[in-house]
Amino acid sequence: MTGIDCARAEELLSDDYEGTLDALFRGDLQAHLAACGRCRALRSALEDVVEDLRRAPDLAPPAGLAERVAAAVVRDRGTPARRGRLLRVQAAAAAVAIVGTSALYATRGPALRQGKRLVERATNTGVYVMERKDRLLEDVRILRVVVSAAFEGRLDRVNDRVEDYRRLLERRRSSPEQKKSEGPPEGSALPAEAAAGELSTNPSPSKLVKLYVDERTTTWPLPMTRPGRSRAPMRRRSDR
Amino acid sequence: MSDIDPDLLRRCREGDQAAWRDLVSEHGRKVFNLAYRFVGRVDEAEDVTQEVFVKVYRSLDRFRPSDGSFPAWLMTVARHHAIDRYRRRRDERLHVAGDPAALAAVPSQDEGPLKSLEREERQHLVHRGLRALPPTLREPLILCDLEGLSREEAAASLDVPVGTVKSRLNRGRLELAKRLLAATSGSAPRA
Repeated sequence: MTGIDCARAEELLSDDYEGTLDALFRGDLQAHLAACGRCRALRSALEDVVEDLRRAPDLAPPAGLAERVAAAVVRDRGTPARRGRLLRVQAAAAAVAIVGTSALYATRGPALRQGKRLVERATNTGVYVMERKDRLLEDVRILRVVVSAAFEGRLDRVNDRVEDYRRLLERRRSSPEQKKSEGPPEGSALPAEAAAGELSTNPSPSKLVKLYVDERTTTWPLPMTRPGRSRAPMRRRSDR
Repeated sequence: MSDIDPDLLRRCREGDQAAWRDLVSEHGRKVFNLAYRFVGRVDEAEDVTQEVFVKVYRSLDRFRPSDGSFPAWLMTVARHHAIDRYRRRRDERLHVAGDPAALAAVPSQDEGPLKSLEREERQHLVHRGLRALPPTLREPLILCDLEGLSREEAAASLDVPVGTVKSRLNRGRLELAKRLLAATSGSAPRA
């Protein structure tokens, strides 16, 4: 009986081939390879694959490629000038839009007041976000891993990461810092009124945003199925 | 060190066709091979090569010999373009046709005839498997194993974290190894 299974051994094979595997893992892998013929064959095939790829010789380009490419480049000579004209037209249009908008704000009092309020709210929001930036960065890091795993189609890992996140939120809820009231400052554009239970079914993107603003209201893990639809729950790889 | 004749560079900037012919003759092979590895067809690789050099012409004013070597700058432009184009058009290439003429053109190395035949057959299987891989697994294999980039350079080209490159590289290699094993043992590859 060896310390690691075939799935774990597969994860280590590439690093073992590169010679970058940690000594501890290498020992585990060697012990597994000594006992598992399938993984030994896979290790050998992986070596063949990488060596074949690395030794793949260059193809000779088709005859006349240089002449055809040179002709195409020279044909393109007029393009930068045309691009320059287009840029000048776009710049002029942007200048007109800026001047027009400024004039509107200058002549319309209510619009100006609305603009001031907007700036004030944005400033407050900025202060609020800066105060909680460490926590937000942590959230973003976890979410990035979740999204990467989702894009790679690793639903088992998505589930694991969501579970990690749920545990993190639980730890935060139980920490003394979280127990004191910490709503956003007055005038913030990120309201704290995300009601508990709103996220219990069918979370929309706006509700998810609220979740990051105030984790006190969260009910993780988020439901995997929409109401009225039946869908098999995501399974871990080990369950398959 | 720029690795390019300043006079050739000046003439290329002026749009001298003969200068461009010289430049493409000197550096076109690497660009063409990079393009071929992504698109898998000679005719399309030629189109990509042409597009890369047109792009180089348009941005040649931004190249400063003091910033580094011209071949390195050219290959960076080529990689970005090849990856962009490959990603834009990957949906169209769900059924990628092989290019047997190009594969047959791969020269054999100095080894015994049986060994050479085995190696060619294995290379054929590996390259066919590479084309069948999903783009996320295929891109790091092309950049790291075929083009010889470091994990960090590949991560920068693909705009993903280094850890993602490592994990995709491992999964891509494993997938090819499983296909190779399945092909050589005569059984179907595991899903």
